[in-house]
Amino acid sequence: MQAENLKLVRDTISNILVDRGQPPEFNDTESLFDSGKLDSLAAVNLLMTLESEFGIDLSDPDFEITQIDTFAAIMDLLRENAMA
Amino acid sequence: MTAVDLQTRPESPARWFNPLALRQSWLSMDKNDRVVEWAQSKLGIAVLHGAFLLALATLPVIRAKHMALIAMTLVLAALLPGRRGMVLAGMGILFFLLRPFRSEFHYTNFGEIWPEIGVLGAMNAQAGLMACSLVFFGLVLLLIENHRRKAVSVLAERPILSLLIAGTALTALTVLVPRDHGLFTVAWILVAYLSSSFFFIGYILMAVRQKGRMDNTTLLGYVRPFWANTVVPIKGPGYLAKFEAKDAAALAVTRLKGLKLAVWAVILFWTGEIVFNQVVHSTLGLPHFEAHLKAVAVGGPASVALGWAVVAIYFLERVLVFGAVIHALVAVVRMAGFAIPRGMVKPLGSRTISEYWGKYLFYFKELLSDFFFFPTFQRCFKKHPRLRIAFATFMAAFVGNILFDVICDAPVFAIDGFAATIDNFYSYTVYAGGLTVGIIWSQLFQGKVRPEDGFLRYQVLPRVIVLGFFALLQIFDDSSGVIPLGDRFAFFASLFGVN
Repeated sequence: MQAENLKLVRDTISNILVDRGQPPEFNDTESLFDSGKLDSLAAVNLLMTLESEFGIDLSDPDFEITQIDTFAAIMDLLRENAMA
Repeated sequence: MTAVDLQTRPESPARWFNPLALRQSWLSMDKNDRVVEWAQSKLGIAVLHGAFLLALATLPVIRAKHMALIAMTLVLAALLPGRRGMVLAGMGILFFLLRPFRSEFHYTNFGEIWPEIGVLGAMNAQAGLMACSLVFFGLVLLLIENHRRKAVSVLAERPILSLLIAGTALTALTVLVPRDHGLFTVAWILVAYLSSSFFFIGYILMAVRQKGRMDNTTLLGYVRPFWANTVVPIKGPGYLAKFEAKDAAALAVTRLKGLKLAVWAVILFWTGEIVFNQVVHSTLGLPHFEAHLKAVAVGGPASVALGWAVVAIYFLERVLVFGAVIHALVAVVRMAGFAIPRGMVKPLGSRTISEYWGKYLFYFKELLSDFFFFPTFQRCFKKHPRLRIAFATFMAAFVGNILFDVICDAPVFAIDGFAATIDNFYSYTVYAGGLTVGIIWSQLFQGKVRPEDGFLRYQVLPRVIVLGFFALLQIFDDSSGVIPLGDRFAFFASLFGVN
């Protein structure tokens, strides 16, 4: 995974957190959406970034929204997508 | 005085008589190492469970039989810490075997229908219910295995849509086939089972594809988890697994959080009961919402001020009662070892409609997001971001919202008739429509306010708009059909002086 990709995803999440009045810091395994920290509209913003910047196909029947709940899970998703 | 002085100074005995200090100690007890350590001891576990069950027993919103099941499950899980997962699954399965339906009316209907099923009808209705529950478990197992193996690909790829189509077809059968036909009996029983567990099964199937394989017995325990006293699931096994306490210390912290929330539920419920029922309604004589609405509809006094007072009090009452119910439910889940987020978090402080919607009934909002919003967002209008969000919101807040109620009431179509059942949903359709427009406006057009905009524009106005919107919208939030839509509109208009 390229460093700039990691940074882009991290920055996107940080911006969303700040936009929702939360501190920008988060750890890699921290639940972002399931914990109620971020709402579904925030998930939408993140999904659109993953679609437009990384070509993630959200209409894939195997895709589950839980796959973007943590930074680590997003990284796994991007790796799987890059290998496919 | 230095920081060191503050840390080493012995705790003053006066602290124990200071209500604010006591409140602070209570709220932070799950972060206090000594309390957490004590909560892991046998005495601590016993005291925590005793206090928790005592608190829960003071809430009339939990029925006695369900309270007994909760108590039995939590005590067993505490006595058998190594078998906690098995206890929770087993009690969930037992709960479903004994009480599979959503409504008491459905048990009555089942009792009437069961003797018509032929040879099996000779069995008493309760035994018949358990036999049917076992058969239904078999069907759910087939769904789970199909979801793992993708044997029937359409069913594995679009499980919710497939279940919805199956449920619709079965409901249609119950309406079209004569009551004395064997097909009616089988179809109605299946509809009754499916309608009460539809979204629970949906979440189970979601969990099947998640990392960390769960065994089928555990999954079956979530067709009706032991805490579920409503048809809104607190998400599913995959979600709960993320919040499960992994060691004794984490379990103690989770239980302490559960106890705190249960006590908060008790405070909310009894505050509402005393302030609203005893003082506002009984002593001050303010009419109850439905009684006032009916009175206005038949030409009773329609004072604008009285109308607004009734709406405002009804709104606060509902927030308080729903808050108490959902907190009690989440508290039970926490006592079972899952440190899940609260189901309602300070909704009255919301500054936007979508924020309120997310904070008011978090798990219902999550259900609509999981089954309607995200699946639509993933597939439709990908090249038009605003339309994409608006349409996904429409599918969740309007279509999903109404479908949820229709699915829950599916067995009623055969009993009350199709037209009569549909009539009941007119008001809820207006409610869902208003909610949808409000959320879409909030998501796409509501300007963001900042502290520098001033006290009035930041602290007051947005909240007045949000609370006013939901207070007015609740006039239509009903699918019982007891009060016709026209009467609700008449009352709504009377609030603005239009009679």
